Amino acid sequence: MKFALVGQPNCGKSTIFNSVAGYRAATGNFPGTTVRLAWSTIRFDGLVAELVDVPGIYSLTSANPAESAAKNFLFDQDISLIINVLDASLLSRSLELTLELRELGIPIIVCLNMMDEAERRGTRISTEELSALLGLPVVETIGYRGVGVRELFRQATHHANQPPQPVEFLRWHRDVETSVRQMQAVINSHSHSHHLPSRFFAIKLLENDDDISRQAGPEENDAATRLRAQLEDLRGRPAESVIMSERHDRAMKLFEHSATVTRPRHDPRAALDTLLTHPLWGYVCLAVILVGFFWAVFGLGSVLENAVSGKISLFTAFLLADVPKGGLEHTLIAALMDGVQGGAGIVLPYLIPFLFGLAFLEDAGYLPRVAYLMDGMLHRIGLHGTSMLPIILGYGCSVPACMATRILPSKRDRFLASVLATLVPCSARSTVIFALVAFYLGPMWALGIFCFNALVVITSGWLLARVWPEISAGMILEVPRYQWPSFSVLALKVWLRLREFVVLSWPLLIAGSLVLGLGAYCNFDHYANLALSPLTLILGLPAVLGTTLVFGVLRKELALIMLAQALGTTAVASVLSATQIIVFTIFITFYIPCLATLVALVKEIGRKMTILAATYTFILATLMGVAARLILPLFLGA
Amino acid sequence: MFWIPLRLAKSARKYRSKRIDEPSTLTLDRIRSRQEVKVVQIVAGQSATRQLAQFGICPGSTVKVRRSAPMGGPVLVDSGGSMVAIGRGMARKVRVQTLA
Repeated sequence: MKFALVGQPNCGKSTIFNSVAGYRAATGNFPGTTVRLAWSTIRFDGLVAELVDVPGIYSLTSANPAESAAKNFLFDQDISLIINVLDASLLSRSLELTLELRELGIPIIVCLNMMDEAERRGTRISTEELSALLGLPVVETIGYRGVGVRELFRQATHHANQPPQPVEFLRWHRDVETSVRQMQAVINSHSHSHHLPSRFFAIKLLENDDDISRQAGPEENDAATRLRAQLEDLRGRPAESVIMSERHDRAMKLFEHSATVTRPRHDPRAALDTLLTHPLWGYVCLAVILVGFFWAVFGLGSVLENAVSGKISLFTAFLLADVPKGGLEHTLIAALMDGVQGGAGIVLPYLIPFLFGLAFLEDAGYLPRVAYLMDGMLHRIGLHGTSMLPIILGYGCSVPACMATRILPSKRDRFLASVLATLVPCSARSTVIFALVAFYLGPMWALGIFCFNALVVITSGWLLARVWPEISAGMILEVPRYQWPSFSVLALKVWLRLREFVVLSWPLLIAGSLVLGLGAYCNFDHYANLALSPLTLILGLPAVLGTTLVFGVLRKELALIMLAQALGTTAVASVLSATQIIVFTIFITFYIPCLATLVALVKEIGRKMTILAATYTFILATLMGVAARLILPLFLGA
Repeated sequence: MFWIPLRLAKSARKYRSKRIDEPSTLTLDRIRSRQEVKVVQIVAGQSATRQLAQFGICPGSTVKVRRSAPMGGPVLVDSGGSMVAIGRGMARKVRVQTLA
């Protein structure tokens, strides 16, 4: 059996998915958190079923790749039951999708999620009434608290294999209904390859859906054009608009019959929004939040770093006490401990607070507000606010950021947003900035680097938008309610991201440290550094850092650890000048994205574009590094 | 940064000239905060019309403008209980009528 969680964006599908499948799918309070299908096997009452979390869709006519993926899944896969998740506080709008899903002929169970929110809004819904009118089973849930989820799956197993039956209440106006019948008759008289129900196919043809008209034969398309014109004559507006209105109208009627609206409770969140979207204070708050975020991560990180690093150093000294210096054994132990220290003492102290902070902003629902605030400015450089979502996610990790570009309808916007998202310092690169620049040169310098980076990102956006000009379709983005994130969800989310560092990067880091140590022991790294000396030379960095830069391609944090290893000390400031530290950081921040990101980029924007993007970032990094090398001494006096 | 005032002046001029051209049309981007309007017509392509309709913004529906961001920023509207940010270019395609 295969169950699919389907619903409009940000209605809590992934939350329900996680509550039965364990924390597997990232959740967040912005539309388009899920951009690909997530699968899990669930066991319930001795029954084994596959559960699929489908990206959110507003309707069955797709606008962007994430929605297409969802739609194709619904059309092509053999699904036993659709669990249609609805945001109960947005009932009438959500029901429009339910009405469309009904036409697919797949059994459906309606899950009214966020019931608490609906109540707060003063909407009281009669589940029995709704169920009777819709002709579908309806279950109430509060996803984030797990209320009603057991009942939902119990009902789900009961109702699989019971396709929805036509209901008199949902019938459209006679003229539209006649057009649909006529279209259906044409479809039925032809043999066709698709397996979609003929009524659904007919409606979509009348709506002029591109994907469906491509599947239809010439006679069917001709008939559709004729019937569309007929309907337009009759109603005085385009056929698709007529059908949308029919659906809208039925959904409204369903809402009116099954829900009563009373006065909403006073919502303090409205006041918060008045402040955070204010034309002046909104921007002030944005700056305060970002700078506050920065200080919190740095403050917490440096406290943790001091505490942990010292302990590990003591332990290393203890281990090395009896080992003769200069021998292979000494080199290996020192390299191993460097790797361990790099992970626990340098990366984790900054990574953990950073991920927590970002997860908090995501779950609270602040990101769409940032998109709202930045849209005007982004328009000036040729982008729009929705592109801001992947770019902000880029501060966490470039890989999901590249995937998040799937919520953008235009190919060009996806290219721009994914390149810009890879330029933004991800948590790994931020760690380098925190642990190197902020720790040795002071937090103001680190803040400076973040601001400088933002400037470069904006300039790059402006530049790339000129290279590939296109009139942007403009933003239309749902701004969700604020939510107070639950600590356990935050912790799980941080762990989901941290796990990758702990199980993948850290071992790699320790291995890399060992390789570098061995290389140094055999004098092998000399040649590697020699080969890279042109680069280190123009950047004005010591030649020993050559190999370090290569490691950065694997994982950006590696560059940091390898730096300490290559220099033979963790007291970086004693070996490198302030300018060199900054040049190194800037270069690491901008140059070619790490391996995982490259793979993600190839998948999202294609190989050619990825090579283009990588070359661009490499040239950019070198230019910025050289510029920093030449300009900074004027300020630093060294 | 010195070109920003120039830019602003230019866009303001453009704005004014447009107003003289079509004095009778009122579009969503010109509506002040906290005003409720009725959508009359959407003058846009298929994809924009569809996207707007997904949020219940179609001829006949009522929306309330929450905020209008400065400097060509988007319009924040309340539509059927959800809040939607609509880019200025898109908002310009929505013709509306003010409600008393």
